[in-house]
Amino acid sequence: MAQRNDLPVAQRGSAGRFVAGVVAVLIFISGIAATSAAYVDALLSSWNKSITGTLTVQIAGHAAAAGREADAAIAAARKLAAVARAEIVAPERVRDLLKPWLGDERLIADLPLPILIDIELATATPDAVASVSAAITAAAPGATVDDHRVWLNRVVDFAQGLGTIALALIALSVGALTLTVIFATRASLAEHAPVIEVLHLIGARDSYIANQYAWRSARHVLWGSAIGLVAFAPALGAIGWLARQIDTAILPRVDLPMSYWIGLASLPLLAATIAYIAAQMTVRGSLKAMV
Amino acid sequence: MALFRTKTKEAEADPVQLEGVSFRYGQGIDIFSDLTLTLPARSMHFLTGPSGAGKTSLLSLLYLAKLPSAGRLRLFGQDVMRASRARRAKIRRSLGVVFQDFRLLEHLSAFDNVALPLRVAGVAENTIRENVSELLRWVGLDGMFDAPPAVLSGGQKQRVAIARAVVGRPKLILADEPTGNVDDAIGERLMQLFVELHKLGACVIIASHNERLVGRFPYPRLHLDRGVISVLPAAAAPTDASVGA
Repeated sequence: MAQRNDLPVAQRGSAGRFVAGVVAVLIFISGIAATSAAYVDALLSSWNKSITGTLTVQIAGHAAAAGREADAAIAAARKLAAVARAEIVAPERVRDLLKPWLGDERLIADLPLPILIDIELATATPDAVASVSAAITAAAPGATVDDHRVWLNRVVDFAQGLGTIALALIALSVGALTLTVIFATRASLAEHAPVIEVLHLIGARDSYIANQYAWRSARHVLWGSAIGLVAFAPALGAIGWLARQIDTAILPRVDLPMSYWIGLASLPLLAATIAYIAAQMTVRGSLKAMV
Repeated sequence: MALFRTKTKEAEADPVQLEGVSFRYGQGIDIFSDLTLTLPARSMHFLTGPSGAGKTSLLSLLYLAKLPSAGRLRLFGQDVMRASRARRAKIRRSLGVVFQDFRLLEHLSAFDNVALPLRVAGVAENTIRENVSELLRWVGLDGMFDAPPAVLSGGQKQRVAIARAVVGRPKLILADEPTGNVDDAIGERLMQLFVELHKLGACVIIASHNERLVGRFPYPRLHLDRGVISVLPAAAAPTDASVGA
Protein backbone atom coordinates (compact mmCIF):
# COMPACT_ATOMS: atom_id res chain seq x y z
CA MET A 1 0.00 0.00 0.00
CA ALA A 2 1.48 3.30 -1.10
CA GLN A 3 1.58 5.83 1.65
CA ARG A 4 1.32 9.58 1.70
CA ASN A 5 4.16 11.60 3.13
CA ASP A 6 2.40 14.79 4.17
CA LEU A 7 3.85 14.64 7.63
CA PRO A 8 7.44 15.65 8.28
CA VAL A 9 7.51 12.54 10.47
CA ALA A 10 7.55 10.57 7.25
CA GLN A 11 11.02 11.89 6.52
CA ARG A 12 14.23 10.36 7.82
CA GLY A 13 15.16 11.62 11.23
CA SER A 14 17.04 10.90 14.40
CA ALA A 15 13.87 9.54 16.07
CA GLY A 16 13.70 6.86 13.37
CA ARG A 17 17.33 5.90 13.89
CA PHE A 18 16.74 5.78 17.65
CA VAL A 19 13.82 3.38 17.23
CA ALA A 20 15.74 1.24 14.74
CA GLY A 21 18.75 1.08 17.09
CA VAL A 22 16.70 0.05 20.12
CA VAL A 23 14.84 -2.55 18.07
CA ALA A 24 18.12 -4.01 16.77
CA VAL A 25 19.27 -4.57 20.37
CA LEU A 26 15.90 -6.04 21.39
CA ILE A 27 15.86 -8.44 18.44
CA PHE A 28 19.40 -9.53 19.30
CA ILE A 29 18.40 -10.26 22.93
CA SER A 30 15.17 -12.01 21.90
CA GLY A 31 17.10 -14.06 19.34
CA ILE A 32 19.58 -15.30 21.93
CA ALA A 33 16.79 -16.07 24.42
CA ALA A 34 14.68 -17.89 21.82
CA THR A 35 17.67 -19.84 20.48
CA SER A 36 18.78 -20.97 23.95
CA ALA A 37 15.25 -22.07 24.78
CA ALA A 38 14.81 -23.85 21.45
CA TYR A 39 18.17 -25.60 21.80
CA VAL A 40 17.45 -26.83 25.35
CA ASP A 41 13.99 -27.93 24.28
CA ALA A 42 15.34 -29.88 21.31
CA LEU A 43 18.01 -31.46 23.49
CA LEU A 44 15.45 -32.45 26.05
CA SER A 45 13.10 -34.09 23.60
CA SER A 46 16.02 -35.98 22.11
CA TRP A 47 16.97 -37.25 25.60
CA ASN A 48 13.40 -38.00 26.43
CA LYS A 49 13.05 -40.09 23.29
CA SER A 50 16.17 -42.10 24.04
CA ILE A 51 15.44 -42.56 27.74
CA THR A 52 11.71 -43.21 27.86
CA GLY A 53 11.06 -46.91 27.54
CA THR A 54 14.40 -48.04 28.93
CA LEU A 55 15.49 -49.27 32.33
CA THR A 56 18.97 -49.87 33.62
CA VAL A 57 19.47 -52.67 36.14
CA GLN A 58 22.64 -52.60 38.18
CA ILE A 59 23.95 -55.57 40.09
CA ALA A 60 27.01 -55.10 42.23
CA GLY A 61 28.96 -57.52 44.36
CA HIS A 62 31.12 -60.62 43.95
CA ALA A 63 31.44 -61.55 40.30
CA ALA A 64 29.99 -65.06 40.54
CA ALA A 65 27.04 -64.06 42.75
CA ALA A 66 26.36 -61.00 40.63
CA GLY A 67 26.46 -63.15 37.49
CA ARG A 68 23.85 -65.49 38.92
CA GLU A 69 21.64 -62.61 39.94
CA ALA A 70 22.02 -61.05 36.48
CA ASP A 71 20.97 -64.27 34.80
CA ALA A 72 17.96 -64.52 37.12
CA ALA A 73 17.05 -60.89 36.46
CA ILE A 74 17.27 -61.32 32.69
CA ALA A 75 15.25 -64.53 32.81
CA ALA A 76 12.57 -62.84 34.92
CA ALA A 77 12.49 -59.79 32.66
CA ARG A 78 12.22 -61.75 29.44
CA LYS A 79 9.15 -63.54 30.75
CA LEU A 80 7.26 -60.27 30.98
CA ALA A 81 5.13 -59.01 28.11
CA ALA A 82 6.11 -55.41 28.87
CA VAL A 83 9.78 -56.15 28.15
CA ALA A 84 10.92 -56.03 24.54
CA ARG A 85 14.59 -56.71 25.13
CA ALA A 86 16.88 -57.39 28.09
CA GLU A 87 20.64 -57.55 27.53
CA ILE A 88 23.72 -57.37 29.69
CA VAL A 89 25.81 -54.34 28.80
CA ALA A 90 29.21 -55.60 27.68
CA PRO A 91 31.96 -54.92 30.30
CA GLU A 92 33.97 -53.06 27.62
CA ARG A 93 31.09 -50.64 27.13
CA VAL A 94 30.80 -50.12 30.90
CA ARG A 95 34.52 -49.31 31.02
CA ASP A 96 34.12 -46.89 28.11
CA LEU A 97 31.32 -45.12 29.95
CA LEU A 98 33.43 -44.81 33.09
CA LYS A 99 36.60 -43.72 31.33
CA PRO A 100 35.78 -40.01 31.16
CA TRP A 101 35.13 -39.98 34.91
CA LEU A 102 37.86 -42.27 36.22
CA GLY A 103 40.57 -41.82 33.60
CA ASP A 104 43.28 -44.46 33.83
CA GLU A 105 42.22 -47.70 32.11
CA ARG A 106 44.41 -49.83 34.41
CA LEU A 107 42.60 -48.42 37.40
CA ILE A 108 39.23 -49.27 35.83
CA ALA A 109 40.43 -52.79 35.00
CA ASP A 110 41.20 -53.39 38.67
CA LEU A 111 37.81 -52.17 39.86
CA PRO A 112 35.00 -54.61 40.64
CA LEU A 113 32.61 -53.23 38.05
CA PRO A 114 28.88 -53.74 38.52
CA ILE A 115 26.93 -55.70 35.94
CA LEU A 116 24.58 -53.47 33.96
CA ILE A 117 21.46 -54.82 32.24
CA ASP A 118 19.85 -52.69 29.58
CA ILE A 119 16.11 -53.27 29.36
CA GLU A 120 13.96 -51.95 26.56
CA LEU A 121 10.27 -51.82 27.37
CA ALA A 122 7.47 -52.60 24.98
CA THR A 123 5.09 -50.60 27.13
CA ALA A 124 6.50 -47.63 29.02
CA THR A 125 3.58 -46.72 31.29
CA PRO A 126 4.41 -46.04 34.96
CA ASP A 127 2.50 -49.25 35.92
CA ALA A 128 4.54 -51.36 33.49
CA VAL A 129 7.78 -49.79 34.80
CA ALA A 130 6.70 -50.59 38.39
CA SER A 131 5.76 -54.20 37.65
CA VAL A 132 8.96 -54.87 35.70
CA SER A 133 11.01 -53.37 38.57
CA ALA A 134 9.15 -55.53 41.09
CA ALA A 135 9.66 -58.73 39.06
CA ILE A 136 13.38 -58.05 38.64
CA THR A 137 14.04 -57.27 42.32
CA ALA A 138 12.04 -60.37 43.31
CA ALA A 139 14.23 -62.56 41.08
CA ALA A 140 17.47 -60.74 41.93
CA PRO A 141 17.29 -59.14 45.40
CA GLY A 142 20.69 -57.50 44.91
CA ALA A 143 19.59 -55.58 41.81
CA THR A 144 18.78 -51.90 41.71
CA VAL A 145 16.50 -50.73 38.94
CA ASP A 146 16.86 -47.19 37.59
CA ASP A 147 14.22 -45.81 35.25
CA HIS A 148 16.20 -42.49 34.85
CA ARG A 149 13.06 -40.56 35.80
CA VAL A 150 14.38 -38.87 38.94
CA TRP A 151 17.40 -37.62 37.06
CA LEU A 152 15.45 -36.65 33.94
CA ASN A 153 12.74 -34.84 35.89
CA ARG A 154 15.34 -32.53 37.40
CA VAL A 155 16.75 -31.79 33.95
CA VAL A 156 13.23 -31.17 32.67
CA ASP A 157 12.62 -28.72 35.53
CA PHE A 158 15.86 -26.95 34.70
CA ALA A 159 15.02 -26.78 31.00
CA GLN A 160 11.53 -25.52 31.71
CA GLY A 161 13.01 -22.86 33.96
CA LEU A 162 15.31 -21.79 31.11
CA GLY A 163 12.33 -21.74 28.76
CA THR A 164 10.36 -19.55 31.15
CA ILE A 165 13.27 -17.13 31.44
CA ALA A 166 13.54 -16.98 27.65
CA LEU A 167 9.81 -16.30 27.35
CA ALA A 168 10.06 -13.59 29.99
CA LEU A 169 12.96 -11.99 28.08
CA ILE A 170 10.95 -12.04 24.85
CA ALA A 171 7.91 -10.60 26.66
CA LEU A 172 10.11 -7.85 28.13
CA SER A 173 11.50 -7.13 24.66
CA VAL A 174 7.95 -6.83 23.28
CA GLY A 175 7.12 -4.47 26.16
CA ALA A 176 10.26 -2.41 25.57
CA LEU A 177 9.53 -2.28 21.82
CA THR A 178 5.96 -1.10 22.46
CA LEU A 179 7.10 1.56 24.93
CA THR A 180 9.83 2.76 22.55
CA VAL A 181 7.36 3.14 19.69
CA ILE A 182 4.83 4.91 21.94
CA PHE A 183 7.53 7.26 23.25
CA ALA A 184 8.91 8.06 19.79
CA THR A 185 5.40 8.56 18.37
CA ARG A 186 4.38 10.86 21.21
CA ALA A 187 7.58 12.89 20.85
CA SER A 188 6.96 13.23 17.14
CA LEU A 189 3.28 14.14 17.65
CA ALA A 190 4.35 16.89 20.06
CA GLU A 191 7.07 18.10 17.70
CA HIS A 192 4.73 18.24 14.71
CA ALA A 193 1.56 19.34 16.52
CA PRO A 194 0.97 22.38 14.24
CA VAL A 195 1.21 20.22 11.10
CA ILE A 196 -1.15 17.64 12.52
CA GLU A 197 -3.61 20.33 13.53
CA VAL A 198 -3.67 21.68 9.96
CA LEU A 199 -4.22 18.22 8.51
CA HIS A 200 -6.99 17.67 11.04
CA LEU A 201 -8.64 21.01 10.23
CA ILE A 202 -8.64 20.47 6.48
CA GLY A 203 -10.59 17.28 7.01
CA ALA A 204 -8.03 14.49 7.40
CA ARG A 205 -9.55 11.46 9.10
CA ASP A 206 -7.73 10.14 12.16
CA SER A 207 -6.78 7.09 10.11
CA TYR A 208 -5.12 9.30 7.48
CA ILE A 209 -2.71 10.69 10.07
CA ALA A 210 -2.38 7.48 12.11
CA ASN A 211 -1.57 5.40 9.02
CA GLN A 212 1.34 7.62 8.09
CA TYR A 213 2.79 7.27 11.58
CA ALA A 214 2.09 3.56 11.75
CA TRP A 215 3.72 2.71 8.41
CA ARG A 216 6.70 4.84 9.28
CA SER A 217 7.06 3.12 12.65
CA ALA A 218 6.71 -0.30 11.07
CA ARG A 219 9.40 0.55 8.49
CA HIS A 220 11.82 1.76 11.19
CA VAL A 221 11.21 -1.37 13.23
CA LEU A 222 11.60 -3.64 10.20
CA TRP A 223 14.88 -1.94 9.40
CA GLY A 224 16.07 -2.22 13.03
CA SER A 225 15.00 -5.87 13.17
CA ALA A 226 16.98 -6.66 10.04
CA ILE A 227 20.08 -5.08 11.59
CA GLY A 228 19.43 -7.01 14.82
CA LEU A 229 19.13 -10.31 12.96
CA VAL A 230 22.29 -9.70 10.96
CA ALA A 231 24.14 -8.93 14.19
CA PHE A 232 22.61 -12.04 15.74
CA ALA A 233 23.80 -14.44 13.02
CA PRO A 234 27.39 -14.70 14.38
CA ALA A 235 25.98 -15.21 17.89
CA LEU A 236 23.82 -18.06 16.57
CA GLY A 237 26.93 -19.60 14.99
CA ALA A 238 28.77 -19.26 18.30
CA ILE A 239 25.97 -20.96 20.26
CA GLY A 240 26.00 -23.85 17.77
CA TRP A 241 29.78 -24.15 17.94
CA LEU A 242 29.74 -24.20 21.76
CA ALA A 243 27.04 -26.89 21.71
CA ARG A 244 29.13 -29.04 19.39
CA GLN A 245 32.13 -28.82 21.72
CA ILE A 246 30.28 -30.80 24.42
CA ASP A 247 31.05 -34.56 24.42
CA THR A 248 28.44 -36.32 22.35
CA ALA A 249 28.30 -39.15 24.92
CA ILE A 250 26.65 -36.67 27.30
CA LEU A 251 24.74 -34.42 24.88
CA PRO A 252 23.29 -35.84 21.73
CA ARG A 253 23.68 -33.79 18.55
CA VAL A 254 20.44 -31.88 18.07
CA ASP A 255 19.07 -29.88 15.19
CA LEU A 256 16.86 -26.89 15.85
CA PRO A 257 13.35 -27.55 14.56
CA MET A 258 11.91 -25.87 11.48
CA SER A 259 9.42 -24.01 13.70
CA TYR A 260 12.39 -22.24 15.33
CA TRP A 261 13.76 -21.04 11.98
CA ILE A 262 10.30 -19.89 10.88
CA GLY A 263 9.87 -18.10 14.23
CA LEU A 264 13.27 -16.42 13.91
CA ALA A 265 12.58 -15.30 10.35
CA SER A 266 9.18 -13.89 11.31
CA LEU A 267 10.58 -11.84 14.24
CA PRO A 268 10.99 -8.67 12.13
CA LEU A 269 7.46 -8.97 10.79
CA LEU A 270 6.10 -9.59 14.27
CA ALA A 271 8.00 -6.59 15.65
CA ALA A 272 6.82 -4.39 12.75
CA THR A 273 3.22 -5.44 13.38
CA ILE A 274 3.54 -4.57 17.06
CA ALA A 275 5.04 -1.18 16.11
CA TYR A 276 2.25 -0.55 13.59
CA ILE A 277 -0.45 -1.26 16.17
CA ALA A 278 1.30 0.72 18.94
CA ALA A 279 1.73 3.77 16.69
CA GLN A 280 -1.88 3.57 15.45
CA MET A 281 -3.24 3.47 19.00
CA THR A 282 -0.93 6.25 20.22
CA VAL A 283 -1.83 8.62 17.37
CA ARG A 284 -5.56 7.90 17.54
CA GLY A 285 -5.52 8.35 21.32
CA SER A 286 -3.72 11.66 20.99
CA LEU A 287 -6.00 12.93 18.18
CA LYS A 288 -9.00 12.37 20.44
CA ALA A 289 -7.88 15.53 22.27
CA MET A 290 -8.86 17.45 19.12
CA VAL A 291 -12.53 18.17 18.38
CA MET B 1 -40.04 28.21 -12.30
CA ALA B 2 -40.57 30.04 -9.02
CA LEU B 3 -41.84 26.84 -7.42
CA PHE B 4 -38.83 24.94 -8.69
CA ARG B 5 -36.48 27.53 -7.19
CA THR B 6 -38.20 27.39 -3.80
CA LYS B 7 -37.94 23.61 -3.73
CA THR B 8 -34.27 23.71 -4.58
CA LYS B 9 -33.63 26.15 -1.76
CA GLU B 10 -35.49 23.99 0.71
CA ALA B 11 -33.51 20.91 -0.26
CA GLU B 12 -30.25 22.76 0.38
CA ALA B 13 -29.49 22.80 4.12
CA ASP B 14 -28.29 26.08 5.59
CA PRO B 15 -24.50 25.92 5.77
CA VAL B 16 -24.44 27.68 9.15
CA GLN B 17 -27.01 27.53 11.89
CA LEU B 18 -26.31 28.65 15.45
CA GLU B 19 -28.98 28.31 18.15
CA GLY B 20 -28.19 29.88 21.51
CA VAL B 21 -24.49 29.21 21.05
CA SER B 22 -22.10 30.21 23.82
CA PHE B 23 -18.37 29.82 23.84
CA ARG B 24 -15.60 30.17 26.38
CA TYR B 25 -12.08 28.85 26.72
CA GLY B 26 -11.92 26.25 29.49
CA GLN B 27 -13.46 27.60 32.68
CA GLY B 28 -13.04 31.25 31.60
CA ILE B 29 -15.77 33.78 30.98
CA ASP B 30 -17.98 33.56 27.90
CA ILE B 31 -16.45 35.12 24.79
CA PHE B 32 -20.02 35.29 23.52
CA SER B 33 -23.25 33.71 24.68
CA ASP B 34 -26.67 32.77 23.37
CA LEU B 35 -25.77 33.54 19.76
CA THR B 36 -28.45 32.68 17.22
CA LEU B 37 -27.70 33.05 13.54
CA THR B 38 -28.56 31.36 10.28
CA LEU B 39 -26.58 31.83 7.08
CA PRO B 40 -28.26 30.40 4.01
CA ALA B 41 -26.48 28.71 1.15
CA ARG B 42 -24.99 31.00 -1.51
CA SER B 43 -24.75 33.93 0.92
CA MET B 44 -21.71 36.11 1.46
CA HIS B 45 -20.92 38.13 4.57
CA PHE B 46 -18.15 40.09 6.09
CA LEU B 47 -17.50 39.43 9.77
CA THR B 48 -16.50 42.62 11.53
CA GLY B 49 -16.05 43.88 15.06
CA PRO B 50 -13.36 45.30 17.32
CA SER B 51 -10.30 43.27 18.29
CA GLY B 52 -11.11 40.74 20.98
CA ALA B 53 -14.82 40.70 20.11
CA GLY B 54 -14.56 37.00 19.31
CA LYS B 55 -14.41 36.95 15.50
CA THR B 56 -11.64 34.38 15.44
CA SER B 57 -13.37 32.35 18.16
CA LEU B 58 -16.60 32.33 16.14
CA LEU B 59 -14.72 31.26 13.03
CA SER B 60 -12.95 28.50 15.00
CA LEU B 61 -16.37 27.13 15.97
CA LEU B 62 -17.43 27.22 12.33
CA TYR B 63 -14.34 25.36 11.10
CA LEU B 64 -14.71 22.86 13.93
CA ALA B 65 -11.50 23.58 15.78
CA LYS B 66 -13.65 24.10 18.87
CA LEU B 67 -17.11 23.11 20.01
CA PRO B 68 -19.66 25.46 21.59
CA SER B 69 -19.79 25.39 25.40
CA ALA B 70 -23.58 25.63 25.13
CA GLY B 71 -26.24 25.76 22.44
CA ARG B 72 -26.50 24.00 19.13
CA LEU B 73 -24.33 24.40 16.06
CA ARG B 74 -25.42 22.92 12.75
CA LEU B 75 -23.31 22.91 9.63
CA PHE B 76 -25.07 21.84 6.43
CA GLY B 77 -27.94 20.70 8.64
CA GLN B 78 -25.77 18.40 10.75
CA ASP B 79 -25.49 18.84 14.50
CA VAL B 80 -21.74 18.97 15.00
CA MET B 81 -21.97 18.10 18.71
CA ARG B 82 -23.60 14.80 17.88
CA ALA B 83 -21.58 14.01 14.79
CA SER B 84 -18.99 11.22 14.94
CA ARG B 85 -15.31 12.05 14.40
CA ALA B 86 -15.48 10.64 10.88
CA ARG B 87 -18.56 12.73 10.15
CA ARG B 88 -16.87 15.88 11.46
CA ALA B 89 -13.87 15.14 9.23
CA LYS B 90 -16.28 14.91 6.30
CA ILE B 91 -17.91 18.22 7.23
CA ARG B 92 -14.44 19.83 7.43
CA ARG B 93 -13.78 18.68 3.88
CA SER B 94 -16.76 20.81 2.79
CA LEU B 95 -15.11 23.86 4.35
CA GLY B 96 -12.38 26.08 3.05
CA VAL B 97 -10.49 27.97 5.74
CA VAL B 98 -7.98 30.79 5.30
CA PHE B 99 -6.18 31.16 8.61
CA GLN B 100 -4.93 34.52 9.69
CA ASP B 101 -1.44 33.07 10.19
CA PHE B 102 -1.73 30.97 6.98
CA ARG B 103 -0.68 27.73 8.66
CA LEU B 104 1.20 26.46 5.65
CA LEU B 105 3.20 23.28 6.10
CA GLU B 106 6.82 24.41 5.97
CA HIS B 107 8.20 21.08 4.76
CA LEU B 108 5.95 21.02 1.70
CA SER B 109 6.19 23.03 -1.52
CA ALA B 110 3.55 25.64 -2.46
CA PHE B 111 2.06 23.08 -4.84
CA ASP B 112 1.86 20.33 -2.20
CA ASN B 113 0.39 22.73 0.34
CA VAL B 114 -2.42 23.61 -2.05
CA ALA B 115 -2.85 19.96 -3.03
CA LEU B 116 -3.24 18.87 0.60
CA PRO B 117 -7.06 19.12 0.93
CA LEU B 118 -7.49 17.14 -2.28
CA ARG B 119 -5.04 14.46 -1.16
CA VAL B 120 -6.76 14.21 2.22
CA ALA B 121 -10.03 13.74 0.32
CA GLY B 122 -8.49 11.01 -1.82
CA VAL B 123 -8.70 12.84 -5.18
CA ALA B 124 -6.75 11.25 -8.06
CA GLU B 125 -3.25 12.68 -8.60
CA ASN B 126 -3.79 13.75 -12.23
CA THR B 127 -6.89 15.74 -11.23
CA ILE B 128 -4.89 17.25 -8.38
CA ARG B 129 -2.08 18.25 -10.75
CA GLU B 130 -4.49 19.92 -13.12
CA ASN B 131 -6.59 21.78 -10.51
CA VAL B 132 -3.71 22.92 -8.34
CA SER B 133 -1.62 24.17 -11.27
CA GLU B 134 -4.52 26.13 -12.67
CA LEU B 135 -5.38 27.69 -9.32
CA LEU B 136 -1.77 28.61 -8.51
CA ARG B 137 -1.47 30.32 -11.89
CA TRP B 138 -4.74 32.14 -11.23
CA VAL B 139 -3.50 33.55 -7.92
CA GLY B 140 -0.32 34.71 -9.65
CA LEU B 141 2.09 32.06 -8.38
CA ASP B 142 3.09 30.58 -11.72
CA GLY B 143 6.69 29.45 -11.46
CA MET B 144 6.55 29.17 -7.67
CA PHE B 145 5.11 25.65 -7.58
CA ASP B 146 8.16 24.06 -5.99
CA ALA B 147 8.95 26.90 -3.62
CA PRO B 148 8.68 26.06 0.09
CA PRO B 149 6.76 28.63 2.19
CA ALA B 150 10.04 29.81 3.75
CA VAL B 151 11.11 31.53 0.49
CA LEU B 152 7.72 33.12 -0.20
CA SER B 153 6.81 36.69 0.74
CA GLY B 154 3.93 37.35 3.14
CA GLY B 155 1.59 38.10 0.24
CA GLN B 156 2.63 34.98 -1.67
CA LYS B 157 2.06 32.84 1.42
CA GLN B 158 -1.37 34.36 1.78
CA ARG B 159 -2.22 33.47 -1.81
CA VAL B 160 -1.05 29.90 -1.24
CA ALA B 161 -3.22 29.78 1.90
CA ILE B 162 -6.24 31.05 -0.05
CA ALA B 163 -5.60 28.63 -2.91
CA ARG B 164 -5.44 25.77 -0.39
CA ALA B 165 -8.74 26.91 1.13
CA VAL B 166 -10.64 27.03 -2.16
CA VAL B 167 -9.04 24.24 -4.19
CA GLY B 168 -11.59 21.67 -3.06
CA ARG B 169 -14.54 23.88 -4.16
CA PRO B 170 -15.83 24.11 -0.58
CA LYS B 171 -19.48 24.88 0.14
CA LEU B 172 -18.54 27.14 3.04
CA ILE B 173 -15.50 29.42 2.92
CA LEU B 174 -14.21 30.99 6.11
CA ALA B 175 -11.45 33.54 5.76
CA ASP B 176 -9.74 35.33 8.63
CA GLU B 177 -8.23 38.58 7.32
CA PRO B 178 -7.47 37.07 3.92
CA THR B 179 -6.18 40.29 2.39
CA GLY B 180 -4.20 41.51 5.36
CA ASN B 181 -0.75 41.06 3.86
CA VAL B 182 -1.23 41.98 0.22
CA ASP B 183 -1.32 45.26 -1.65
CA ASP B 184 -4.64 46.65 -2.85
CA ALA B 185 -4.34 45.29 -6.38
CA ILE B 186 -3.76 41.73 -5.21
CA GLY B 187 -6.28 42.19 -2.39
CA GLU B 188 -8.86 43.13 -5.01
CA ARG B 189 -7.95 40.11 -7.12
CA LEU B 190 -8.24 37.76 -4.14
CA MET B 191 -11.59 39.27 -3.20
CA GLN B 192 -12.75 38.67 -6.76
CA LEU B 193 -11.84 35.02 -6.26
CA PHE B 194 -14.11 34.84 -3.20
CA VAL B 195 -16.86 36.64 -5.12
CA GLU B 196 -16.51 34.13 -7.97
CA LEU B 197 -16.75 31.20 -5.57
CA HIS B 198 -19.78 32.83 -3.94
CA LYS B 199 -21.41 33.15 -7.38
CA LEU B 200 -20.62 29.49 -8.03
CA GLY B 201 -22.68 28.65 -4.95
CA ALA B 202 -20.39 28.80 -1.93
CA CYS B 203 -21.40 30.45 1.33
CA VAL B 204 -18.58 32.87 2.19
CA ILE B 205 -17.67 34.56 5.48
CA ILE B 206 -14.73 36.96 5.50
CA ALA B 207 -13.50 38.40 8.77
CA SER B 208 -11.86 41.72 8.09
CA HIS B 209 -10.65 44.88 9.77
CA ASN B 210 -10.29 46.60 6.45
CA GLU B 211 -13.18 49.06 6.37
CA ARG B 212 -12.27 50.24 2.89
CA LEU B 213 -12.42 46.71 1.54
CA VAL B 214 -15.66 45.93 3.36
CA GLY B 215 -17.22 49.15 2.02
CA ARG B 216 -16.24 48.39 -1.56
CA PHE B 217 -18.20 45.17 -1.84
CA PRO B 218 -22.00 44.99 -1.67
CA TYR B 219 -22.27 42.30 0.99
CA PRO B 220 -23.88 42.52 4.42
CA ARG B 221 -21.73 42.34 7.50
CA LEU B 222 -22.06 40.31 10.66
CA HIS B 223 -20.92 42.66 13.38
CA LEU B 224 -19.76 41.05 16.61
CA ASP B 225 -19.34 43.36 19.58
CA ARG B 226 -19.43 42.65 23.35
CA GLY B 227 -20.80 39.16 22.77
CA VAL B 228 -23.70 40.33 20.59
CA ILE B 229 -23.93 39.74 16.86
CA SER B 230 -25.92 41.96 14.54
CA VAL B 231 -26.37 42.04 10.80
CA LEU B 232 -25.55 45.36 9.18
CA PRO B 233 -26.89 45.45 5.65
CA ALA B 234 -24.70 46.57 2.81
CA ALA B 235 -25.97 49.59 0.95
CA ALA B 236 -26.20 47.73 -2.31
CA ALA B 237 -27.38 44.31 -1.13
CA PRO B 238 -30.31 42.84 0.78
CA THR B 239 -29.72 41.16 4.15
CA ASP B 240 -29.91 37.42 3.68
CA ALA B 241 -29.09 36.28 7.19
CA SER B 242 -31.54 35.92 10.03
CA VAL B 243 -30.12 36.76 13.40
CA GLY B 244 -31.03 36.76 17.06
CA ALA B 245 -29.09 37.08 20.30
